[in-house]
Amino acid sequence: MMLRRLGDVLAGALLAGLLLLSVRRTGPLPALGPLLDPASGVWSVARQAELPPSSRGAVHGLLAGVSIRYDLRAVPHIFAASEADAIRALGYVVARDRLLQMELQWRAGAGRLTELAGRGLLPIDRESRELGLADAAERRLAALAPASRERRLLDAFADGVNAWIDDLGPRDLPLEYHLLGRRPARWAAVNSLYLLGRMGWTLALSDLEDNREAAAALVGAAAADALYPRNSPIQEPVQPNGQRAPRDDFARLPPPASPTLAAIRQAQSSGEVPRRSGTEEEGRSLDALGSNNWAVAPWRTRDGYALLAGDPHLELSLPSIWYEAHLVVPDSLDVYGVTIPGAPGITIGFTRDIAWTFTNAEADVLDRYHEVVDDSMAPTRYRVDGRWRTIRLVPQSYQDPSGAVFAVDTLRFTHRGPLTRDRHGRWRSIRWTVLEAGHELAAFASAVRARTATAWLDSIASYQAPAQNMLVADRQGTIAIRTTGRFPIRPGAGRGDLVQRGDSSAADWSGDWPITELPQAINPVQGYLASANQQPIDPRVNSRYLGANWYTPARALRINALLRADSAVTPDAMRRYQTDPGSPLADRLVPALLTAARRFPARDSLQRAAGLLAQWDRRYTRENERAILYEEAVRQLAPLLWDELTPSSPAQPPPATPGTAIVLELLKDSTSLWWDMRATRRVVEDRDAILAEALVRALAVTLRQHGEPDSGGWRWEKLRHANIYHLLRLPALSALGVPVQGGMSTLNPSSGSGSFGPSWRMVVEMGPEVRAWGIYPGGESGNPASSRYLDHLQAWSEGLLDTLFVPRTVDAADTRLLSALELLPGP
Amino acid sequence: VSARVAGIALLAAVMAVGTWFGGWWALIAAAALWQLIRRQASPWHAGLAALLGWGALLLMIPATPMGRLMERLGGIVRLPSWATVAVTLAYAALLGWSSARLVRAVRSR
Repeated sequence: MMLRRLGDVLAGALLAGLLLLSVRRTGPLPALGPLLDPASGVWSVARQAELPPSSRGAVHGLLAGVSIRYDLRAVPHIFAASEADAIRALGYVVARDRLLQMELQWRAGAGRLTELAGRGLLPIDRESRELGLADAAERRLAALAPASRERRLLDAFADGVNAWIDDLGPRDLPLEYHLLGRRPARWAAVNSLYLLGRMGWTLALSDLEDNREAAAALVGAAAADALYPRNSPIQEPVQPNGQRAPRDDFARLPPPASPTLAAIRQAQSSGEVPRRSGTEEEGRSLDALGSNNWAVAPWRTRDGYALLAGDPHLELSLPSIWYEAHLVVPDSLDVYGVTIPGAPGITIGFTRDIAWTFTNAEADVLDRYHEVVDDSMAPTRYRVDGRWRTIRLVPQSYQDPSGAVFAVDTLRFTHRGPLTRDRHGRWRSIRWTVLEAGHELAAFASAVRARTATAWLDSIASYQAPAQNMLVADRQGTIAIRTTGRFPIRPGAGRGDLVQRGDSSAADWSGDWPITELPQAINPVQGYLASANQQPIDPRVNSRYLGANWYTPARALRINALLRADSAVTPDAMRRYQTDPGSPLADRLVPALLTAARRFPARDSLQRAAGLLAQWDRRYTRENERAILYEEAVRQLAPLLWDELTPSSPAQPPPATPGTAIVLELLKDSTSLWWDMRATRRVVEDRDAILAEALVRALAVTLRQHGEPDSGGWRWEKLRHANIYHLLRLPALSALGVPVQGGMSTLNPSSGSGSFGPSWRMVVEMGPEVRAWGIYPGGESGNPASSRYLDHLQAWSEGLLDTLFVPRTVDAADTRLLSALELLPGP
Repeated sequence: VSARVAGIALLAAVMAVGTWFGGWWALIAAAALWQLIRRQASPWHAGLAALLGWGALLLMIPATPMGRLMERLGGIVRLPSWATVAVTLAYAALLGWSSARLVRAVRSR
């Protein structure tokens, strides 16, 4: 009897406990009832994993029915009667495949991630809001006339997304919503603008001023200017400069000097505006990041048609940042390419007449100003030209998923932009073109209707931010490029890498670069064009300040060398170039390392290292067994060479590691004081001593970590991988350790973390019938249970491209049909 | 024995249909109702029926994506992929059993 009663009590307690776990969230565990329910819980994700053979939907606002055909790669081909309907359908299909990604991205731009994923994301939300991204998007939407093309596109896209969301039952929710225990929020027109602002953050948030100040505080202003120079020491610009080979503009670097007290104070007070993430900074300093594009004129191709290739490198994620789609409106629009989920149109792609792609311009479009304010704690006014101006105050509140406000804040804006306080209490405002962006969406919408490359450039001319090297080729054989965006003209010396005084309006931007002055070229004599984030224009052609601390143009050197050497380029050659394993920096650094080793013949370990390095063919193929030693030597070289840039106080922020171009510049000056290590006070090291030491250390580290040279542990593919994380950073939903060909400064650069890489590779041949190939890591579906979640990964990893199917009609699309979807006008 | 088996099968079917149309709480309601109607039945029958009912619903999911999902979920919670299904079925069984057992205890007073 007692036992029975005990059993009853236990059953009651168990039921109570289970019910509690079933209905409410417990720590990271969502409510178990709705989660485990096999009909509408997490398991239903598997039911929705594959596209049905046919389906129907209703979309509010549609003017006519839209036919959508998914091809065998699960790419939707949208056949609509009007542009607005095509965009509505685009919203619908992107939401169908990528809903969580869309929500995460707009929330990241709006600073509202905490509402979805909890209080822990407050720092990310604060950053977005303090940078003014959310405010800028909201003001931009408010400024759009209701009948403007941009507004109509935004509304149409929202119609499509919301049609999908409104029809979502519990059993249609994406996996992550089950795990988070949330439902997706409805889509607002402003969300697309939040998203674009976030792209600006990714592509155009520079910290040149803080970096230069940090360096000046350690080695003096002249040395800082030389380490992060206004002009690249190696010139291979985007706009061809008429030279047949790259030009080294090497100068003697001023020696490191003792900094002034003012410089130290300046540096200690800087750094309030967030810097790029650690991995990104790492990649940047190691020349391991970057996008490429190039185009070849018909007379340099085998088949006599213009060719275009592009591979924008971004942070890799699952699902991919890109989504492939094809929009067809008879006699009006026929565009294929990739869109950013949440953007109402194709971003990179091609039509039957033109193809285009981008690389980031890396120009300096953000300036910082020290402001004089009326109250150091809570200012309401700031002084300009001796008069007080009112600071625009915008109260902020942050909510958690339950809707409770858990943090409040006040944003401040001067006429320049957001005003924030540095850690020493001084107030700085920023002015940033991303916050003043204009009508990018309308520019894109117009550009896709262009029939020629020049018309395309004219259509996209109003594009402002984030600035891009926009490359285009057309069916007539024209190739063209323009570094497109808004580039401010600064007063005085024109420098944007110094913090300006805010108390004078004379420090404000005095205008923008006129379009005629932008770096650009149409059908150059050389017969090809290439950009790879390098300095866009030769300072001998135009010396106006456009930026500083440019990427070492390693990839530009390599692609130009490949194109110079090939007068009969094929689409397959274009594809191969995208993963070319050659490194022009290794071509220059390896001989220097070997020469240094010859000076110290008695050092056995050095001679062994040099012997192994000499065996390297300077190619980063997967099976290569010597690249690893070179990479380690370069890694070891940085702290030996740049010891002067290590702050003695943790309060002092360290500057970025100077680019490899500066190292190459220093190689010409074997006794520069930069080679000397400050820690060894009685010895003055020179170039060869430091290079030799780096090599010895590299061998020791490599042996320790990877074993003997030919034991298999030195294979490049064992060291360098792509690590493609799911958006929620869940390893089980990620693709980690994906082997890739390429390394530091190759055309397919890989960073230390492996989280950056070619987010979309495309090759287009502009013949009588356009032919195109493309791929991104991942797949169209954001559903981890889908066969389309990772189906492109293997081919991407091997440097292959898929042939893109570009049907003109529904009937043509039906020949390679995976799934059909009919959208009808809804209530 | 056959009546008992048929009863359990019937209850499992009710639970599956109830879950499909009503949600997870249908398990509790069905188990409680069953125990009210069939006083002499063991609460374990309700637990077994819940396991079978939910098991049937899981079996209706296409195998390939189900396998992928099991693998992913197992990776997230750091369990073998089969364990994620086992947890689901155990949860159902415990809900069914405890609900029925509680009803039996209340009725016997």
